[in-house]
Amino acid sequence: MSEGLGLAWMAEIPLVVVDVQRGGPATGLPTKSEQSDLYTCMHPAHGDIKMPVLAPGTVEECFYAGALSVNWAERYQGPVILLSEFGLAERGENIRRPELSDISAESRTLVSEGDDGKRYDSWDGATPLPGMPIPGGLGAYVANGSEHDEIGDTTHLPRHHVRLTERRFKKLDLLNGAHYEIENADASVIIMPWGSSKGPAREAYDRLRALGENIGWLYSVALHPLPDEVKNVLDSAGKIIVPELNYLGQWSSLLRQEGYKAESITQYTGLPFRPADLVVSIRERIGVGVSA
Amino acid sequence: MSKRNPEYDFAWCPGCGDFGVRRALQVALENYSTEHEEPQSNNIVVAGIGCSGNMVHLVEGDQPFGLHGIHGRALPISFGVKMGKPELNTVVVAGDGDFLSIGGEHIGPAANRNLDVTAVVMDNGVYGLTKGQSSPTTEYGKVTVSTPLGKIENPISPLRHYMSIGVTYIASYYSSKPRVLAKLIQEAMNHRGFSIVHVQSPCTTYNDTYDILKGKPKEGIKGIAYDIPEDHDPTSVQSANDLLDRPGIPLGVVFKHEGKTLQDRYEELQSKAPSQTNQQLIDSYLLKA
Repeated sequence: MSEGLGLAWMAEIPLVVVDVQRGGPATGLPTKSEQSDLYTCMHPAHGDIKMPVLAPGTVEECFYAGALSVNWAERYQGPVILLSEFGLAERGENIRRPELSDISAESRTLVSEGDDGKRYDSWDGATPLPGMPIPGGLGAYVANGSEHDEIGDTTHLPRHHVRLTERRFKKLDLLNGAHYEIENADASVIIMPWGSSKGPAREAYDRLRALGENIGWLYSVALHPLPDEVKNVLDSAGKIIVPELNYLGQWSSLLRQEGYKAESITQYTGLPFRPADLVVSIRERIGVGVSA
Repeated sequence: MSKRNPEYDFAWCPGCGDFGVRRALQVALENYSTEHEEPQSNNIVVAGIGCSGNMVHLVEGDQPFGLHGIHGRALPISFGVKMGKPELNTVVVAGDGDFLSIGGEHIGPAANRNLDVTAVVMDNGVYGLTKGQSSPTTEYGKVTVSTPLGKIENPISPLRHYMSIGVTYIASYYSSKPRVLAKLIQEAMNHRGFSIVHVQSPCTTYNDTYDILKGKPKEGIKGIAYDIPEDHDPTSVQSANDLLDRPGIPLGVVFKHEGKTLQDRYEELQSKAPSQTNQQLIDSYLLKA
C-alpha cells in the first residue's frame, strides 16, 4: 500500500484509502479495535510525504467524512486517508437521517482546450490548480511517479524537485470543511481525543465539568491538515491531554512535532476506554488527585 | 517526449534491444489507431520502472497518454485504468525484473480477470538500469554484481508461466525485427483479453545475448531463436505446451484463446445489480414504526 500511496502523492492522482484499524502489528488482534495506524497513515511512504487524514469518531461522522474524503481527493488531486476503526466499522447504531442535500460532490478541475499542457506547473495557491488531463481526452502527458517537470517528463534537476515538493505540500491548503468541536477553549487544560475515543472522552469531560474542573474540549475529524480554528486553540493551550488507544501516544507525539504541548493517556488493551478510568487519569494529569 | 525536452536526461545504451521494441510499439500504436479510427490519445502506456519503464517517455511521434508508476505494479495500475476507462487501448511496458519478480504476483489475477490489456515485456535477463544485478530470467549460477558467487535461484520460464496461469494471448519474439514485432503487438492489442508479447531485448552493456539468440550464421553457429512452425495451432493448449517443451526461444504466436474479458464480466454483474438511487439506499435503513 505504501508505495502506491507514494505514487498517488507524486503523480497527483485522486484516490481515497479507507483504513479500518484493528490491533496490530502483523495479524495482531484482528477482532479488536485500536488506534495505532495513525503514524502509518500520516507518513505511509518513503520520501517527503504527509497524507491528508480524516478520522471520524462516530458512526454518523463516518458518513460525512466518507463524502468529504472523496471531495478532498478531487479538490487537491491526490490521495486521502479515511481512518476508521474496527469498533466503528462493525457498529450498528441509530443516527439522524443523513441529508443528501448537505453533501455536494465536487468535481476535479479538468484540462480544457487552450491550456498550456503544464499539469505539474508551480502553484502558489492564488489561482485554481492546473486542470487534470483524463486519458482519452485532451492534454496527453505522462502521469509520473519519478520526479518530473511541468509536463510530466522525468527530471533530476534540483529546481524541479524543489518546485514540485513545495507544490505537493502547498496543495494541502485546499483541504478544509471537516467537522470540529471547540468548547471552553480558554481553559488551561484541553482534552483532545481523536477517532472513536471521542465517545468515552466526552463522557469523562462532561463528568469532570460537572465536578467543577476547568477543562476545555477540542475535537477534529481532520487530523491533517488541521483546521485553522483548531490550530489557534492548540497554540494557546497550556496542556493538551490526548486519550488514545495505542502504546506510543501517536497523536500527541504528532502534535508535539508541531510544537503543541500535548501528552497522551494511552491504553493498549484492545478495548475501548472506560469513561470512569478516564476521569481518574485526566484528574491525575491536571493535578487534582486520584479520587474519582 | 524526450525529443522536445532538452532537460530529459535518460538514455538507453547504444545497441539496446529496447530501441527495436520502441520502434515496434510506435508502429503498433499508430496502426492500431488508424485501424480503429481513434486518436492517439485513446492509447495509454503504463510502465513500471527500469530501462523498460522509460519507454513511456521515449515513444516518439504523436503522443499517447502515459503513466510511469512504481516497481512491479504496472498491471494493477492498468487494471485501474481499465476500470475507469475501459475503452482505452491499454499497453503495459515492463522488463523481466519488473514483470516477473515483484510484479509476478499480479500476472495470475490479471489472467483470472482476463484483463483486456497488452503487456509488452522486454526480457534482457538482467537489471540493466541499476547496473547489472541478476533478474528472474538470469540463468542459475550466473555471476553478476549481485551474485558474485553465482545466482542461487533457477530462472523462471516466462512462457510456461503465462501458459499455466491462464494468459489468453501469448506471443514470443525478439527485438531485432521491429516490423514483425509491431504486427504481433498490434494483434495482441486487438486480442480481447489479457495478452503478453514477451520480447527478448538484449542488454548490450550487461547481458549481450544477440549472438546466442541469432547465432553466427557466417561461422555456422545456430541461434536459439527459431520461427514457430506454420503447422503450430496456437488455439490448442496441447500444441502450445508441446511447443514450449522444445528448447530455444520460439518466435511468433504461442497461444491464443478468446473468452470473457473483465469488461464482459463486469457488465454481466452490473446487469444483475439492483438499480437504486442514493436516497433510496438511505431510506432503506429508516426505522420502521
